[in-house]
Amino acid sequence: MNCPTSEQLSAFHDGEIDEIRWLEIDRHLRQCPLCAAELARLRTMSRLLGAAPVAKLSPIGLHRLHRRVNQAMEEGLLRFVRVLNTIAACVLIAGSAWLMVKTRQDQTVESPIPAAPPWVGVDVVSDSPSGAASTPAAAWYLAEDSSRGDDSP
Amino acid sequence: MVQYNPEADDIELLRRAGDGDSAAFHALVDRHAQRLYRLAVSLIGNAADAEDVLQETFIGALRGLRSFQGRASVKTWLTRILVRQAAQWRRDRRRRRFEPMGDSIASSGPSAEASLDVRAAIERLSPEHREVLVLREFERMSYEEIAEALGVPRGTVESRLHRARSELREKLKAYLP
Repeated sequence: MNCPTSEQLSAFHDGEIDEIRWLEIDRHLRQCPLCAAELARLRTMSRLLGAAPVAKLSPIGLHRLHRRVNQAMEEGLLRFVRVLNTIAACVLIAGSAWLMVKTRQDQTVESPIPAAPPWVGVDVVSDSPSGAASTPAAAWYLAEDSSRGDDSP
Repeated sequence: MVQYNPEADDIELLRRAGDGDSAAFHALVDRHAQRLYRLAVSLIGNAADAEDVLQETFIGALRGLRSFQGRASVKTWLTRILVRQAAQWRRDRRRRRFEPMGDSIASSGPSAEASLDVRAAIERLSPEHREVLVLREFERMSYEEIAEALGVPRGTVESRLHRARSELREKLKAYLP
């Protein structure tokens, strides 16, 4: 076979190649010193990377992480409570507004326009020289008025 | 004998955390913090900022608990969040400089100098190349897992990894045969 590409060799090194292709490249590597050298470089590089300093999270760092998570949980809870409060306030305002409107409507239905009092329609001016009353109520008033006039000293 | 299945445990912890069990989420933090911190340091290059990115990763996971659909493993899901947080950190601080790692890095004896050169060489890679290289070489993730974590096709992982290794080979040729 021809020399594998660098990408194929890289995938071979990582074990990320199918079995048939792997066997082909493996066979080729036994015969091709250039490809074998390239693979050796890849392996050395992986070893170098493996020997690189290893970062370790300190116990204090881990504690800070847990504390930050707790803080985020509390913030989430507070946000939830705040949302609930807002919803409750909205419901309260909407309910109050609805009650006010409803009460006003009920009052309108239960109290139709009241009947006019008896004095509505009575002529205020009744000083006609003829003394004639224009309505029955006026006639009654005039009659009473004249009887009061007779009793006067 | 009961078979230990870490992934099943992770999913169970995640489910309980989603139901409001804070202890389950803290257990998840304990299980993945060291691995993700190591990855954060490799992607970012300094311990203090890596810790910030790690915290943001778990807060992102906490807020996105319900977005986990179980298509990827919990490990890959958390890795994806961390890679995104690291990218965000890079965007926020374009002008950062490489800082020494300090006490949080365990030196590995006689090859300490080579290790520092390796670390510096990784630091000089482009973010895309560094991501695939770190996920492959340090985290031993498969190409499929890397593709899932980075949200790119497998072919992209292969080509980025190849280019990352080529660049690294140039930078580290003094140590290579």
